[in-house]
Amino acid sequence: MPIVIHGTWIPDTDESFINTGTFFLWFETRSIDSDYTEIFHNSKKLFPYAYPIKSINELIKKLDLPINHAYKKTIISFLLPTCDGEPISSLAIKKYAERETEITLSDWSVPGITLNIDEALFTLLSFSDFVEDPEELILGSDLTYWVSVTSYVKSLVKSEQFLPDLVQSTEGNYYALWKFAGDPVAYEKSLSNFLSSMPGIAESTSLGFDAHSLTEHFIAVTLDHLVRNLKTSKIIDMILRAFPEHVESEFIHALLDSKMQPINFNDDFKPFYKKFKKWLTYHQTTYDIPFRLCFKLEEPKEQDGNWVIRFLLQGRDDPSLIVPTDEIWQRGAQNSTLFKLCRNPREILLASLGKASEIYPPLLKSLEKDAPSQWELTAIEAYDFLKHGAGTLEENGFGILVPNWWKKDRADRKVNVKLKLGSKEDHMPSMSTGLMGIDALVDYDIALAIGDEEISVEEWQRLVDIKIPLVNINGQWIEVRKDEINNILNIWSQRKEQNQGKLRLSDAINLSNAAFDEESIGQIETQGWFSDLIKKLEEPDSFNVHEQPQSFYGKLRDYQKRGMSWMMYLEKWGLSGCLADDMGLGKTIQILALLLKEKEEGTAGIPTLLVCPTSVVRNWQREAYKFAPTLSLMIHYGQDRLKEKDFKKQALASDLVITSFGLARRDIKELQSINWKRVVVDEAQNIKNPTSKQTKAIKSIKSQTRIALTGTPVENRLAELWSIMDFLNPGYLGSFNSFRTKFELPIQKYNKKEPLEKLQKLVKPFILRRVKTDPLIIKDLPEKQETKVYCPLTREQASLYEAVVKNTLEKLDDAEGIERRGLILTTLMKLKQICNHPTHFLHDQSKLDGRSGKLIRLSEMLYEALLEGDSALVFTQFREMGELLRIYLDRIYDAEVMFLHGGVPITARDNMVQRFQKSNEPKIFILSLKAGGVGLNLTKANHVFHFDRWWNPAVENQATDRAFRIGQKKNVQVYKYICQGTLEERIDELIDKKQELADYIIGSDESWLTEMDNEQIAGLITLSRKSALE
Amino acid sequence: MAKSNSFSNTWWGRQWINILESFGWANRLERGRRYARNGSVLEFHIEPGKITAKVQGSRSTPYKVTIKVAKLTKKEWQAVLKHLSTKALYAAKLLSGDMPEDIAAIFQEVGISLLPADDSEIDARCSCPDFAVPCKHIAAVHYIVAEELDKDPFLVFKLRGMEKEEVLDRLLKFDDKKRKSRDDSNNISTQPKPSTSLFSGTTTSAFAKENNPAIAFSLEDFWSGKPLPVSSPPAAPSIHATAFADTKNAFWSKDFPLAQIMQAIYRGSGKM
Repeated sequence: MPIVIHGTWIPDTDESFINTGTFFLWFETRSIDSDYTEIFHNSKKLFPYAYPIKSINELIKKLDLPINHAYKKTIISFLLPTCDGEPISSLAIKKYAERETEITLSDWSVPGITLNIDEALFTLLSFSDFVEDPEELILGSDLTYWVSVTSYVKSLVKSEQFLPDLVQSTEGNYYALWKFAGDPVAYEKSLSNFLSSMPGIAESTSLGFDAHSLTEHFIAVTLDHLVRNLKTSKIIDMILRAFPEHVESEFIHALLDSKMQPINFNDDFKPFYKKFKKWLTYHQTTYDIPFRLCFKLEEPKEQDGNWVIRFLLQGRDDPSLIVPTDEIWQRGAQNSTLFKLCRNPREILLASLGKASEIYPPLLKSLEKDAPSQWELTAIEAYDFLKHGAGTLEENGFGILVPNWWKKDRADRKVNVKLKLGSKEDHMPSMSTGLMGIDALVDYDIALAIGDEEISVEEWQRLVDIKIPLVNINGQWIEVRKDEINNILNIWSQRKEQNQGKLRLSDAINLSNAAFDEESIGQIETQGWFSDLIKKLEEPDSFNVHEQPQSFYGKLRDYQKRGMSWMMYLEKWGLSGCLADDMGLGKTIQILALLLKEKEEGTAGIPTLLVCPTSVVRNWQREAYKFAPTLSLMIHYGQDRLKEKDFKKQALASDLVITSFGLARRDIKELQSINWKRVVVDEAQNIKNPTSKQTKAIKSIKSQTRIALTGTPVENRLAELWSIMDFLNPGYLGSFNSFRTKFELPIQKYNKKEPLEKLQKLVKPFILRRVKTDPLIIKDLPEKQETKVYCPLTREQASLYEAVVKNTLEKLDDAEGIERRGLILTTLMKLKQICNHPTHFLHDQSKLDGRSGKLIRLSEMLYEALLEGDSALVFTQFREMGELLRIYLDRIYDAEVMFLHGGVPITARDNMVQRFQKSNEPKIFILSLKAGGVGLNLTKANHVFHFDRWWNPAVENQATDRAFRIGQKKNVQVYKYICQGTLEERIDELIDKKQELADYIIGSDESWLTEMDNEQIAGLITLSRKSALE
Repeated sequence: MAKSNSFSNTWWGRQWINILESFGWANRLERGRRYARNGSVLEFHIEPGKITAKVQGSRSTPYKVTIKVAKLTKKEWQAVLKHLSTKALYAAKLLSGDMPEDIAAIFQEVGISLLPADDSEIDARCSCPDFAVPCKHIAAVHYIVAEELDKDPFLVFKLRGMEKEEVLDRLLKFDDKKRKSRDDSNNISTQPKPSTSLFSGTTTSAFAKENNPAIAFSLEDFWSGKPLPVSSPPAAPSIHATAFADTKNAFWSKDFPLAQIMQAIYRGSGKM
């Protein structure tokens, strides 16, 4: 059991003038003298857990404590927690934690030692960097408290926050001492921080000092003592010797004497003392806290009462420090708090009022009398102050406090123009005629209201007639805004005449979301079908969730059904939306389900066009075959793609036409020849540049509705957002130029929050974004999700590939045995290298960009992962490829990418793993399958990419499990890269087909492939140009 | 004489210049302006009721210029300040660098003018041999003073014999007999009641005195307390530097190198 050192400050309690104090130390242990109950001191029981007085000497020596010999042994009475007559030691708190018995404080005698101030300071300062040993020796919380306070005093002295002082005793003696002189606010703050953490034991002597005065006394005594005993330069002695008879010398001498003695001087000292005190008062009170003037407007309780602006002084650095100024004009104000905080509050107040009245001249009225501390004003003046004065004054650095109800958005505190959108009918008038779209018309009307309550024309007239801008209605102050309101009413009545009370649907949705920026419209009320629409748009969960289409091959997850239904809902109103789910949540599947659903319901009729990056065309095709085999698909892609009439004929006979961005631009005539059911743009960031030919081409394709798909958080990228919204619902966000001035500039350049919030509100109905980290989605997702990523070959890759295959097939017939095996394995190796990257095969030094389908796709997918703040592992079996990936990824993301391979020494590996796991960056970690496939714990990553394949699921799974293991909090996405039309795809199919055989056919390496006959080999490796190429 | 305006943009500054220009001698004024602009005015002091300056003329030794402005009598000042202290407006404007025009009217009401009304109230001398008053040196000083007046309207009062501090004491109500004045408060603090102890006394807490067992009591708070604040060193600059540099209010005699001693002490504390 350890010994606990306790200590507390004991101020002198005798009547002597020099009231310093001593520090009491005692030592707590667990061992109890068996006969402790017998021991009394001054009729108080001895605290049995205190180290007995006779062994203290020995203890101090044994523990080598920083305590000098000059201590006195003594016994001090403490009030200590007691339960049923038994004292509770600090080491036994836990035992009593659960007990119901009452704990009281009772007197206990505690043996220990006292140190004089000099010894105490030595010991306390030594303890400030004392290392505790929890087994043997710990510092009690009381001792720690006093050690901290001592350190604080030391820091005050070190930063020179003190001045000398002179004190006269009642006997007529003069004493010199050092006193704290610094920022009084900071001092009070530190003191109260200390006090709030002070343990009871630190102030629990039976002498009963209150914690605050005890601590202040300690600070005063130690501060004086520290300064008094500073090592000072010899020059002081020299000067003092040179001025022996001077009163100043006596003063300095008394300040630096380590013993405190009365100043040895006659009556001549009195004038010096007086002068000194005058100087001190002046300089102590010149501690200039920077203040600024603050205007606080207070409303009257009733309509006819007076409004008042109070003048307050407010701390510039601490706005919570607010002092009223009525006090500063009173008699004896010099003794008030404010005068202690700053040199001349009257001057600050008047000078500030002078400046403020230049900025806002009505304030001059408050200066018509003397000693101003407030300004009483009429409702009209108060209104003017709120409307015009407060803002300008605030901009010019004055503090402003206005009643809470004076907030721009408080619709219930002013008369507003209310816009009522939508007619009372429950159904869209034009529903019967089919889809209505963003250009449909919505009825509207205009009314006046305060909060939810509409007011009639007569009531309005009555308010206007009062002719006061702030009217008290039922105890609440209402802003009337007569001219403003009348103006708005005029504008809208003209507008109503022009458009017969009808607004375009897009304008109506826009207004209902963000009309407040017009200032003209204070409130919006929606009714009938429009209200229904708006509500459903605002709450993405309020629409009906449809069951998955029966012909869908597989099972939709709940959120995928919601996504499908959301698109169906928007399209019902002729509106278009952006599905912006995180990568891996299955946007493709949701689109396929949507198409199947309408095919089943017979509402399709005309085909849907899907435009996507070349790299994912085959993915779409594959997913469509897999999940929606009943869809009739047309891939408009490759050199033998259909043209003109042939295209149109075939397209109209299909459900879904898929093409690439590049072809969409080249074959725009063909695409424009059809009025599509909808145009879906996958990877919608491809149309982010509104001026590019590609974007313009795609926006020119006619369709009933549109859908944008993207995995990037589009709402934060403003130009992109505008372009995508402009594709979806043209005109909804206005022209690009007006969008820039209204949103982009204020948000990006000036960092304004308001327009950003408004914009988010505007676009929210049209963007559905679910993130993987959403607990609802996580619940719905498998913890590990595997996806095969099919990539095309570039032309370069394809010709290299074909050359290798040709060469091999020529040699194969003549090869036998080991030679044959060797040939096959080498070929497989070469082909895999080509699939990875031409440079991997050629070992050339040319640039890496744009030459490998896999690398293009990997860059895109990693980009999305990084945007989501995620981390990723990339596995490859080839060290050379890993190195290429590291160089390339490092460059394009301008971020560090680590690569762990067999050549990295063990310690460096550990280092890399630690860095990856513990810090935010790097986020991409490339590992060679052999070196990084086992043992490591890399749970920071939630994306795992297998850039090339080992053809052994067990090995791959082991690698995947670096991320997918205990400690992983997110769902893990696993991507297996496959070059379409190549051996990679065929071997993958082979393994899938023979799943049950896989385990024993497929060993730990690829030699099983050499068991195939030549024909099988040829079938395996020959390139299917049609599906492989872009 | 449009150019003369460039020395002053305030009404009181211009009024000061008008005094000069009312004396005539246009060609000397023109040269005076040139002197003022090219830095020929070397030294210049404003004391209550008096401006002294040295102006570099054609000779190597600069000429001495003295401009005396008639001071107001105590009674006149009392009357003026009484008026000025009825409205906070005057102090507020003066403190923010402006002088309300009706201040001139207040002086008028008392029967005097804010700035000298005629040559009986202003007496300018120069050590140069030019017979004319004002000579170009006097004119130069006069223009420079106009610039100074623009910067600090309180100088107008100083020219009339009263320091800014005194004016402010009155305007800020520090000399109001009904209120406690700056000096009063100093008098009180210079004669504080003698103390019964050197350090602030300690008081006993009600809690301990009563030893009330009913007080909600936590063993944890008693033995462990709460985590102590991380004490950051005080950020505020020390005030001793200004306090001991203040020779005006110094409590020590000018011969005694007290500031030097204090510097040595504070240097020692910084090194602690």
